[in-house]
Amino acid sequence: MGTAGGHEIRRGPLATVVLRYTGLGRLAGLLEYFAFALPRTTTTAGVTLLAGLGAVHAYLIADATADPAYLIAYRELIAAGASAAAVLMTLRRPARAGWWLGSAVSAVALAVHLVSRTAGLPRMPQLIGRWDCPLGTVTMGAAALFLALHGSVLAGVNVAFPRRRDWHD
Amino acid sequence: MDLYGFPAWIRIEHWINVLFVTLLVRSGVEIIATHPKLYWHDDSRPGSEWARFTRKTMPRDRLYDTLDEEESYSPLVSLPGRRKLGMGRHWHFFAAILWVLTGAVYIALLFATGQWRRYVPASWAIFPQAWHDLVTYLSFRLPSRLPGEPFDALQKLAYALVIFVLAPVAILTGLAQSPAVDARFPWYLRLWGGRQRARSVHFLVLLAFLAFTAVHLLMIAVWGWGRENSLMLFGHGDAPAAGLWVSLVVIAAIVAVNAAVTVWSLRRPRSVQRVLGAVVTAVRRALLRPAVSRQRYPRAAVSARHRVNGRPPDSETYKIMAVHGFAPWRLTVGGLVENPLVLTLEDLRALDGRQSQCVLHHCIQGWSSVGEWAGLPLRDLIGLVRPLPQARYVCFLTMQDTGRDEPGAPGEGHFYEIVDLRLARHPQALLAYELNGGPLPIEHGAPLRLRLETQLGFKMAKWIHDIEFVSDYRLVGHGMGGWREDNVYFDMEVEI
Amino acid sequence: MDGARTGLSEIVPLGDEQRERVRARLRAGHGACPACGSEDLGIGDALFLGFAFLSEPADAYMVGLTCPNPSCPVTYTGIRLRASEFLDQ
Repeated sequence: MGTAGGHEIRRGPLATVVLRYTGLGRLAGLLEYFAFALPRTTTTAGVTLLAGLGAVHAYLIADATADPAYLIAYRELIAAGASAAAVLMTLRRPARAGWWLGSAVSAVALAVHLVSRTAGLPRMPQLIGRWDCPLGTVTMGAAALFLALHGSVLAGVNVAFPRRRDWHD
Repeated sequence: MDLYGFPAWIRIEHWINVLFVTLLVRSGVEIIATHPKLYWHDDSRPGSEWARFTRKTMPRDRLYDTLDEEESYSPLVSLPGRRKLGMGRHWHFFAAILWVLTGAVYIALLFATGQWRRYVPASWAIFPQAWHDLVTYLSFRLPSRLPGEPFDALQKLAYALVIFVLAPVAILTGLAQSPAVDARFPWYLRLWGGRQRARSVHFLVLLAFLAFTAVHLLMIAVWGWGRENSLMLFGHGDAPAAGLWVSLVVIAAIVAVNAAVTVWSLRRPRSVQRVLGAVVTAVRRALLRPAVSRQRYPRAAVSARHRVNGRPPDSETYKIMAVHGFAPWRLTVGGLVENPLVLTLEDLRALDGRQSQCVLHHCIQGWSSVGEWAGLPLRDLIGLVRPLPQARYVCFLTMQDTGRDEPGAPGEGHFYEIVDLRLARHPQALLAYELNGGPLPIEHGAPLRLRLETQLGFKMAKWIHDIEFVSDYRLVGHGMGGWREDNVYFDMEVEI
Repeated sequence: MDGARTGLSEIVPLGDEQRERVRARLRAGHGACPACGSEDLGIGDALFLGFAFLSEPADAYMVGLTCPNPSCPVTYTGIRLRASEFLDQ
């Protein structure tokens, strides 16, 4: 168990081991000094980032029609996943699932983007080394920021809709 | 070709500004450490904060006061760190005065030399251009500078925002936290949506400054650290190697100044209090001392729960007085007066001139609450006791024994505070025996406390039992004008 | 901390039965006026000490005692009691 601004966070045994032996515990201790009670702002920020991520991929579906079919299908999947996650995050009960879906979509988008620019994707070798694409930078930025934001929610620094702080002091 | 260049005054101002901003940021962090919670509403209701920077939680079943909520931050992030609000305030105000002066000279020179054009856009076309620049940056390429100018469009807008928006908002929201400004011009505080909003915006401006600085440093590195620093140090970009090394020396010097003032503040706080206090007091006296409170908050604005600072006297005598409704309590009024008095609470209540005032309480820690206080105007008591000509100050002695009642506080002895006679004659200087229509609660200073509406809360002594008129405050305690001035190095006059 | 804590809310008015319990406590402890020895002390209200005073146990009260002797130099005194000693359960 740990606290974040007086808010209890449940940690499993694995998390405890990881925190103790990786030095992340000290980081977590530092994070406990930061706590925000801005659930709607947090959710709005998350939804905006996913909207950006989804919009970039939707734009690419329309713009790069000559790309391989698997890449178009992948972009459709990311756009749909980001949209679905954004909608779920604004609903009471499935909000938490929405955040996890958003993180999954962001992680995949970030990983696929990085692979496409380094190792390369099948039938898309021309993307290797192409870091000068603004939409790609937006993809990386939005995905990384969403993961960081979700991380801050999991760490207790932020709370997301519909949860609220129950601070008495 | 850059038509504007980097004239010597811009370069000098830049580095002075860096020094003052580092002092302001670190001392600001020290100030927020004392009440590490940010609110939107002026009642600072516990639990209603939108941000907190503390791991502490307070008890539910015991009186806690806001001193318990204070955090001790590392000197690495705060000036001087280790729970030294008095020192943090001295540095914040001292640096703020110098920073504002530097800024005023900078703005004057900008407009006198025509250099303002380097920051102020001449046409709306800058916005599409800035968008284009942003897209270029997102492509990990560098945009071209505006023709004949030192910056690209996005940079120009960013600098304009920092100089003409962020800096003024920082100054204005800082002023909006002054009890004297808020008491004299309640409309000004309303303009910001209240003191806690002003405080929150002040903090958000800090974040914006930090974000700007991070991007600024990143951009300098991207554009070429040596060349950019050569421009800002020598006025030309032709000496990147010297620019690199000299910039590192200058940064080391700024770090050294920060380290030196931190050590000075931690080791010789009294000397910092005297030296910086002299500068800050001179400015404060000129600008804020003349302010007289004109607060008249509506009753609807009264906070459901007025926050508390300080613990009540934990003595048998006090508890027995309290259980008897303070019937055994006596107020002694003496010193340099023609007509010394001893008054009971009933005597005080029976005196003509009972006054009530609904006002915003400004704690030095940053929180606020609204309360309706009622009691005897201090000027009426002054009229009754008739001070002798040599009397210049009024000393309020209290029943709180800090060593016993505030074990965490750095210092001992009975709490006292001293104000000058001019302030004591203010129309809203009040000896309060009621709060919100009821008897003054124990935690708020029962049976009698002081209200000085242009001052910070700590001056408003609680649990008063003795009032002495004196010729010189330096003869009392450690001679700094009050218990907090003596022990935690606050200023004696606290209009901000 | 009670959100609506205003006024001297720490004062608890005592009923006859509670005063009787206090009187019994006084008798058991030879409670007489410490100044003049008078035994007929008037029993007033109780002040809850457990919340505001650092040194007090959470259930501590001070009950006000008044000496009826007009020549007594210390009219106002008090007795410290636990809640269970005089308040209703």
